[in-house]
Amino acid sequence: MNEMLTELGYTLGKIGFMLAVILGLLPAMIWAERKGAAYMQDRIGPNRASIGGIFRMGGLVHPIADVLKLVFKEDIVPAGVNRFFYHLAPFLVMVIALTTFAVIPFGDALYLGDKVIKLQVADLNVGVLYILAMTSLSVYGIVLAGWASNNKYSFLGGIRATSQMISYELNMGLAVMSLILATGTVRMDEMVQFQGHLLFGFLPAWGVVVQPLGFILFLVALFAETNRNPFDLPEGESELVSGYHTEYSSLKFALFFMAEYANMIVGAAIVSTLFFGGWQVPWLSTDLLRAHAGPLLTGSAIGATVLSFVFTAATWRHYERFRGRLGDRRELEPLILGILFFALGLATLGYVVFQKPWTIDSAMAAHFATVAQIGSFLLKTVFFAWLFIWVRWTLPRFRYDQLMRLGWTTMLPLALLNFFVTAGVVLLVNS
Amino acid sequence: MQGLFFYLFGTVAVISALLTITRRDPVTSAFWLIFCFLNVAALFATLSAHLIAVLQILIYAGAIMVFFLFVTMFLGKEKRSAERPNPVVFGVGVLTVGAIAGGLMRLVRSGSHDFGEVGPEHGTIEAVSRLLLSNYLFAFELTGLLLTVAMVGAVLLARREAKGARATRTPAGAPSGPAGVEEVADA
Repeated sequence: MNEMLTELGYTLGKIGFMLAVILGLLPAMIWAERKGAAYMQDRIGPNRASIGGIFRMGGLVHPIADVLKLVFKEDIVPAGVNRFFYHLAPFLVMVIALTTFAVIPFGDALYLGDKVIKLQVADLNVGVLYILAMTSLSVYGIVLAGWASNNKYSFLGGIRATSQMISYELNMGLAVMSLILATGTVRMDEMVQFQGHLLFGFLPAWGVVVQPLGFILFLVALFAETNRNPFDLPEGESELVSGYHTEYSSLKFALFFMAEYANMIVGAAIVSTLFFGGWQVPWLSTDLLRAHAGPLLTGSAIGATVLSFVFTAATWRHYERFRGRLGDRRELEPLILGILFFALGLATLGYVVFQKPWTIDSAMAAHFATVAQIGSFLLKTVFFAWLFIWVRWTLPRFRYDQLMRLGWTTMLPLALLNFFVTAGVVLLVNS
Repeated sequence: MQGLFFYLFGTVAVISALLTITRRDPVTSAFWLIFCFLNVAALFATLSAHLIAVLQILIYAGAIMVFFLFVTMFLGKEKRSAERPNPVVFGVGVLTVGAIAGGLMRLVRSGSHDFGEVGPEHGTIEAVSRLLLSNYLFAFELTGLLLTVAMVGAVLLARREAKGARATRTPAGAPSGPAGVEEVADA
């Protein structure tokens, strides 16, 4: 009984971590989208909302203001909607986005005494097929919203979503299939283990190295399946008002909005797991990380100290430059942040001097390895999440027939070719 | 625990199947059918047939039903609402379903077939793949061939139609969508 409870506790902890990653990155993503778009268009972007008139944090406070606004807006339900499905749709989108994350491993198995904890919510036998199944379901929330809204624009958005889905699901499946052939497994944890090997003694056997074409096909299909620009035709605000969520307001709109970003984060996590080694730190396997935990930890602590002091200097310069120019409490922000950075720098310096991190024991070394791997995974995920934003503000939207032609006449033959070439190479290598 | 999940998913599956055939609007019906598929997939999962469960979602709920919806939504609203069923058709349908259900019940009750319990390893992707590529290789390849024939046929029909009419801008590959999906999932 006790055994079961601890097991349940660990699972809940992992689910909590997963939710914390997605829901914690969400506001940061919205901020990055607005600020990134602004800089790419030579604007300043959001910088007005503040806490207590002091903290503006370069616009990071804006997501809080956005959420508050959306919570307190009137929730309008238009006449003639199919009530049950209209209310179900936003939840469906969000739930499917979140559950996809369940099979993604975010660290090597952790040994606590004689217990093995897999850092993965659900270690499924079917592994990557689960991801494909979930992404194929993700379209229903959109279709349901489009159809139940009783609005022709929404409806067209829903139809576009279905046909886009059919066209790109196939390419995604074929790209994953080639990767399965190359790695020889469908389980996510084994795929990540495979990517820890070195090719020719120096190149990490990441999916992108083994399957370069597969990676490009997968990435394009992923953009299409998350309905992000240049494939955001179901929304297509220049043609369809705002597509499938035209009739949604208040928190229900917020759910669609959040689900889009949750989908991006999960998609980024999938790409980094399948093609960029997941939690693997390049060139440093789990054993190496544990063996050299002392020097590595010391190095990172010293790096953190230096960075903190650099930030302190930067904020101080900012404070000096703007002192007396604004004439209100906003001037205090860089000063307070600078003091915080300085304190952080002192803390890490004190840690290096007094705790002597180069002498840590093996249990702590294992924890350090896990933390480093989770950090590596998060770093890759954040990069690909940023890539979604980067592409959105760089490329224009495809026309509908271009989208179809790209999917069926360019990507599908390429995916099939990739599949057969991979099969041939695997056959040659194994025989 | 196992029994609880069985009755939960089984009941929901039966209810959503009933809703599928009693709703007037085909789109609503389609959504209930998807829900039914999901519950059947859950039933497979409780029987530790994980591969079948995922394929049920991936192919039936994910690919085929998306295509169904796509076609249904393209029909006009007046064409979409179903008429009251012809009583003769309705009667024949009820009788057929009753006969099949009765036959199945008798088969299970008689005990002439031994539905022995299989281990949790039985439904894994390795076990199913090994069966498909050894004992049932011929049937497996034949199914693949059948799907290819269907796909070629669909493309041929689409081409002939396009030749008759003016050259349209519809994508040539689109009609073969679900056949292609199945093909890949089988491969």
